[in-house]
Amino acid sequence: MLHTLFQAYAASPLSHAIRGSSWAFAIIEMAHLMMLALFGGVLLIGGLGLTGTAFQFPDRTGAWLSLRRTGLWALAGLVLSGLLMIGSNPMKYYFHTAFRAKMVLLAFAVIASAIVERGIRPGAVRPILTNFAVATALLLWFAVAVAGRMIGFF
Amino acid sequence: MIDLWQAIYDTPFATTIRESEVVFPVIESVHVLSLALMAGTIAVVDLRVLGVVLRHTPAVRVERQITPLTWLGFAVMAASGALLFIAEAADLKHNPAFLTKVALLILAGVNMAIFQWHSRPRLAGLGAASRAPLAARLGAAASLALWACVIVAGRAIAYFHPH
Repeated sequence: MLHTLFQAYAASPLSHAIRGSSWAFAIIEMAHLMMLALFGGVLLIGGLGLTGTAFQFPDRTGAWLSLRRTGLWALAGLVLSGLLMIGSNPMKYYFHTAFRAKMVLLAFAVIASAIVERGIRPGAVRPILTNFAVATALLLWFAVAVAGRMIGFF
Repeated sequence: MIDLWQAIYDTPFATTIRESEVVFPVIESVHVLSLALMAGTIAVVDLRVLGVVLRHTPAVRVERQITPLTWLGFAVMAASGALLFIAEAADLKHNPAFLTKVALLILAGVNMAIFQWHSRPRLAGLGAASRAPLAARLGAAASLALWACVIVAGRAIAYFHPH
C-alpha cells in the first residue's frame, strides 16, 4: 500500500515540478532546516522547563503550553517541507534505510510526546514518570533529526 | 605570495577530513544540529521579547536561563564549522554563499551585542506583563531574520560548490 502511494506521488505533477526545478529542492530544504531549528529550540526549552531541571519557570505547565503552539506550527512546517522534499524522488526515499529509520523514530517520538501531554494534566501521572517521558521524547526527536541528516549522506 | 586558503586546504589534516566517507558527514551533521540548537534557542528568546511565547515569565529571566544553551550550541557550531572550513578552504574562497554566511554571522553577532548592551538593561526592570521597548522588539525581529538567513546561506554553500 505504501509502495503504491509513493509510486503515485512519483507520478504526480507536484513531484515532476520539484524534480524539474533547479532550485525547488534547495528552497524546500532551507525551509525544512529553519523549521527544524525553531521546533528544536521550542521543544528543548519547553521539555526541560517542564521537568524543572535546566529551566525554572514560575508555571511549568503554562510555559509548556505557551511554547506548544509555536512548536506545533514549526512541526507543521517540518511535515509540509518534508513531504515536498520526498517529492524530489519518492522512490529513492521509499527504499532509503535512513528515511525508514527516521519515520519509525518519528512515530515513537510522537507517541512519547503524546504521553508527555497526558502527563501534564493535573494529577494524571507522577512527576518522575513525566520527566522520564520528557527525556525519552527529547532523545527520540534528536534521533529523528540525526536520521534525517543521514538521508543526505547514504 | 602564499595563498593561505589553498595552504590550509593542502594540509594532511584537511585532506583527511575531506576524503573521509565518515568524518566529513559526521562533522557536517554536528554542525547543522548545533546551528539548529543555537538558532532555535535564540528564536525562543526573540519570540519572548516580541511577546509571542512565555508571556508569564519576564523576558530577562527567559534570556538568562536559555543563554548557556545558546553558547553551548555556538561553541559546537564554531568548532565543527572551523573543521569544515579547514577541509574545504580553497573551494570556499570564491563561494558566494559561504562569504554571505560569514557576513550574516558577523551581523547577527553585532545585533546580539547591541541587545546585551542596549536592550537588556532596559528589559531588566520590566515585569512579565510589560511590553518590551520598541528597540528591543526591533532587535528581536532582526535577530530572527538574520538567523533564518544564516541557515539559508549555510545550506546554499553546497549548491555553489565546485564539485
